Amino acid sequence: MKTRLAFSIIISGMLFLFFGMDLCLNLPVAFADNVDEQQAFEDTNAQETESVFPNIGFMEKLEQGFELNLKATALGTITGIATSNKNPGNRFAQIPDKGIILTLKPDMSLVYDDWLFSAKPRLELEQNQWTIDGNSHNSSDQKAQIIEFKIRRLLFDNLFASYGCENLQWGPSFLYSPSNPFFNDNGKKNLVEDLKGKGFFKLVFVHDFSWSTSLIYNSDKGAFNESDFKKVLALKIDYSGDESYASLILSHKDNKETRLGLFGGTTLNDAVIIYAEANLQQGSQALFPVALQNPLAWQLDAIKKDDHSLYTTLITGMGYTFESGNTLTLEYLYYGQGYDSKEASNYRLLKNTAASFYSSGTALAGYGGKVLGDAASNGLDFLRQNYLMVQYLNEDILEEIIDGIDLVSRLTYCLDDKSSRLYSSLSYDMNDHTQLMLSGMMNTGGVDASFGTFLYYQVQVALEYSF
Amino acid sequence: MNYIRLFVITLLVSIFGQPLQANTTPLTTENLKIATALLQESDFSRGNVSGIIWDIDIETQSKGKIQKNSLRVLVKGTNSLAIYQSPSKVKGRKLLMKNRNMWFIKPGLSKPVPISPRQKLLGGASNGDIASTNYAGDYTIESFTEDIFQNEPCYIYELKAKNKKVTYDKIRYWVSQDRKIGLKAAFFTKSGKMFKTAFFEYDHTITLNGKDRLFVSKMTIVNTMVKTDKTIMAYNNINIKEISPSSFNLNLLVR
Repeated sequence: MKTRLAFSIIISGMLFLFFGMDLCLNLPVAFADNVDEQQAFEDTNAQETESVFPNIGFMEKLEQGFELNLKATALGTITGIATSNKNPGNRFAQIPDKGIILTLKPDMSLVYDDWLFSAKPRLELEQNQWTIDGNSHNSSDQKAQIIEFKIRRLLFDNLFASYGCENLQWGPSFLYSPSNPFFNDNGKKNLVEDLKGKGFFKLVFVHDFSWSTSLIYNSDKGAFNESDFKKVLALKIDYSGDESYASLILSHKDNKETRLGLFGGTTLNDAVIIYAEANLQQGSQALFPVALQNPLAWQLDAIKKDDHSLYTTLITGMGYTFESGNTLTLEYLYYGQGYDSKEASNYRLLKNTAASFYSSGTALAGYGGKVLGDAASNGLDFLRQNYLMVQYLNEDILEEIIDGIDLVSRLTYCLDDKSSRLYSSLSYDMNDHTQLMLSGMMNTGGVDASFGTFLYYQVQVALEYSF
Repeated sequence: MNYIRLFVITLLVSIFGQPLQANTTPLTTENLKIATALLQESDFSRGNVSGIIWDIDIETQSKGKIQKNSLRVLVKGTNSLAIYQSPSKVKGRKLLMKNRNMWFIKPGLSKPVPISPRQKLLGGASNGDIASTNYAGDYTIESFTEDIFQNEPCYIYELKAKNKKVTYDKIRYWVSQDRKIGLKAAFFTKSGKMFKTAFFEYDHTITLNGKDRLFVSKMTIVNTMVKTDKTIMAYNNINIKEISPSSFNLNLLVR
């Protein structure tokens, strides 16, 4: 009932704002966040060059400062679930094999004097079907939530303070962002679904056109559902020059590790960019397989958390743009915390043992389920240590036949266990408002390799309408 | 008969030999100063002021198809930020350029993506075309020659890039002697091949240092290889003002 009420309030508010204020047609005054009206140093007097920042009233400021980008998306997913003793009959992971999500995305922001307010509410209708032990189940859900919001104020001379629920992303890499202590994915869950944010206090001081410093405090888990959330404090120093950029991020997690993150890149020529991103940390919070001298045989434990060894994660990458505009990107990832051959072998044994416990119907079934759960969330973003990624962005792939079709193809390959993930997505601009997207993902290498523990393949189709 | 031959030769020479007749001015220090000053003046009329915000409508005609984009662009020195306004499907996208250091920001994707200058995000226009023009600062004058362009006395500049940071390696640039504005530009590849020409119109006026000055209103870029491929950039809502560095800071751009 509460969800429905919230749903209705947000929809009513959106409709009022959308139709009542003639919003989208006006560009916000301070879309640039901080164009300083007081610093204008030249008059423009021609009719064509009338100032767009005259002294205006409260309502006009609101109207000019408000921006709404409204999108509606529909996403359909078909998933091929891997058949394995790690997830027998899909009893353990309970992954839906079909699903559809309809989402209304009213992204809004308001710039008023030195203030910026922004919010990304999401109104979702979701229907899923999953099969457990051969029996089909259906579920439907409706959600109204704000996945991100922010309040920011210019305190003085290029010093900004903000609090918000944000998904903070940075760095040049596509595959992974090791320098980011808060989020290390690439900021997108699938074709159209946006990632949720966490709570951040931020102070950003912009020294000049090249240098800035940020103090970032991750105070709460925001819209994330993390049971083991820990607060993180980070200092980020950024340099951005005419051809190169570099950043340094020093962070500390409550009662956990201190990390040093780095990234940088340069434009070698018109067509080539190169970059690198890294993270250095002492110890590891990840779970590693430990053999036990009792009938339980194995357990997973954070045996390296007090380790004084330094663990490195490094990504190096290169992008090459062809004359046609198509772009090839290559990335190599070294993930220092990942399992070596022996640990991977033990991990496989552990999962097999746990799976047999889980399916045994004995008193050990509970323990088996727990170990499988630990194995599925072992704290490692990659199972092994060495990976390659090749991505090709093909713009207007069928331009002779049909306009506006872009293709992204990506192969992620584990050099250690030879498994891979193939991903391709196609987007088609049907008109100025509508985009049709299709993606396919396939894992190879089997259920014990880096990819494919739970999924064989996934196909998604999405339609996005921009108002 | 001889008179007829003489007439034909004179006619042919006058038609095809015009560049040969053009008066190449020797590059003495004094002349170079004058040429540089005129080039600087023409740069002012194409946005090389301390800070500028303008709306650019880009229409690309290629292979019989027309693509339109509207951008709001902020420029300050080598920094520029383009914010896509339309069509709806691209609204909110941002292209941040710090000279050749470029980032693309897409709504719904919190992570900015680094791109190369060659990546085409503006139809037929190069990424650098939306920035202001600083030919006087970025290029060396190799020669300048008196000429007439569309019945207007002008100088043709042969400009060579001072470094690889700029969009074009070599430019031939026609600048009006009286109005002190660039009229036409021909752009060359490193191998010396002309690949596009641009024509400028100046229907706007701004006041700069207390003086009224013509200001660019339209730039038409024609592909020299495929003459039907054309990009028209119309400049509107020109607003000259100081822009703070934070407008170009990546940490503050993603919302």
